Amino acid sequence: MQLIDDVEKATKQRISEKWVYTHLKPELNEKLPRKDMLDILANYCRVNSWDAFVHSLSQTTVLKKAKFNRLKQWVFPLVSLVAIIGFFLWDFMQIEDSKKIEQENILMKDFYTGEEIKDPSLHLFVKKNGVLEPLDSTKNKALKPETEIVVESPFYLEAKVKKENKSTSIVLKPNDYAMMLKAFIQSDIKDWEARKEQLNTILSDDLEALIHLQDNLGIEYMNKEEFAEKLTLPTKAIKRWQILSLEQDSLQKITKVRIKQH
Amino acid sequence: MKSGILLLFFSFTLSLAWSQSIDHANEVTIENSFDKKAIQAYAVQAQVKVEEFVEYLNLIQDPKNSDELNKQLKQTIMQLFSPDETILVIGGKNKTLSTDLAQWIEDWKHSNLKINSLELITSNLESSYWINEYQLNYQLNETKKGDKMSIQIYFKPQSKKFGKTAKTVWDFKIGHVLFF
Repeated sequence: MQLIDDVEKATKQRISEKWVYTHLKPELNEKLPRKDMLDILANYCRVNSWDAFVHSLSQTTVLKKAKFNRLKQWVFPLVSLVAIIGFFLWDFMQIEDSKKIEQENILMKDFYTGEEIKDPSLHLFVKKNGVLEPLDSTKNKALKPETEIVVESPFYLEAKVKKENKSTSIVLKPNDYAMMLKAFIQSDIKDWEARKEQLNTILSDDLEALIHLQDNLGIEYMNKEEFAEKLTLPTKAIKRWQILSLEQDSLQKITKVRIKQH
Repeated sequence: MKSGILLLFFSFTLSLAWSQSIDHANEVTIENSFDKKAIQAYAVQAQVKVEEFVEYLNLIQDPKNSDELNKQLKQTIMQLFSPDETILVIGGKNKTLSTDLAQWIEDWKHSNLKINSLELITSNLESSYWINEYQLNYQLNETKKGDKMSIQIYFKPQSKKFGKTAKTVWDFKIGHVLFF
């Protein structure tokens, strides 16, 4: 009733008690109020008419929307930028972590010098049901302890170890003849006579040297005589050779060598 | 009688032509043995043979070389050439034609011509070889000069000995070399 009096005092117009009970009090009201009554309430709110009141409401909404859009122009890209930077930081940290895992978990050492071996020709495998599967060294944390890890490289003798709980250390014995071959590829004309003699010792008479051409599109075959001649006086093209694999006989003489021509 | 002889003659000529066409179809060539990409890879390897040949030619001219080293270099150069083909080397000392490779290498060793660089101009594929044409930049008696050089590089199946066993493998060998 205070509202009715207050409306009357402010607008000099009166709304009935019945109108209040019909339109304002009930939780559900299916009846539409008359426009002139709404105008009175609009005047009470210091607005000229109900239409003017509705119009001012829509303008407020538009204004709010405009403000929101302006905010959206800055906030959304900023949030996206922060998210992208965050993702890259997280990804970088993951890579760094995986590198740490690799270094922490599998350490390869030279049998004679005890120094760590960081040779890209080293390939890690896991033996599963008697079959060798390439090992992604970044995922070795997932390997169960006692898993057999096999290391292969043309320059080291094959090594097999079982994964330990924390870090696994693998000691590798260098393949002397393979190491010599690697050094000969990079040598200059100096000491060619000694090299020729050593090549005759380390290469089997049955040697098959397979030179893999670019993108593995072809192979050139060389016998011992041709291969030894090439390495006795290495040219610029020979210095671009990369040893892929080696096979040796019981006397450790090289019987087959696969080389990539870069 | 005459018509019988003519018929016999025609049938003989036809069968001869037919057998020759079969021989031609069965001929082992680079093109019918490899696909385009592989031929391109082998063409690059043929160029490597030429570059090695030129590198050895420069090495053998070093006056500080021992006789033993020159002997080894000469052997290595000769190894690059085909033993089955008539080798023609034109140029070098007095630009004369030579079919004696060993003698040509000896003449080259003592010549005043030194190769500075080699640039491939064209490479033409034939049935069993490439003919590569190069721009040869050289020095003759301290004067810089430029000329063209043409080299034939064979690529054919050859029987090669690997110790006790022999295998047929495709092999590169240099044929003729022409210095203009």
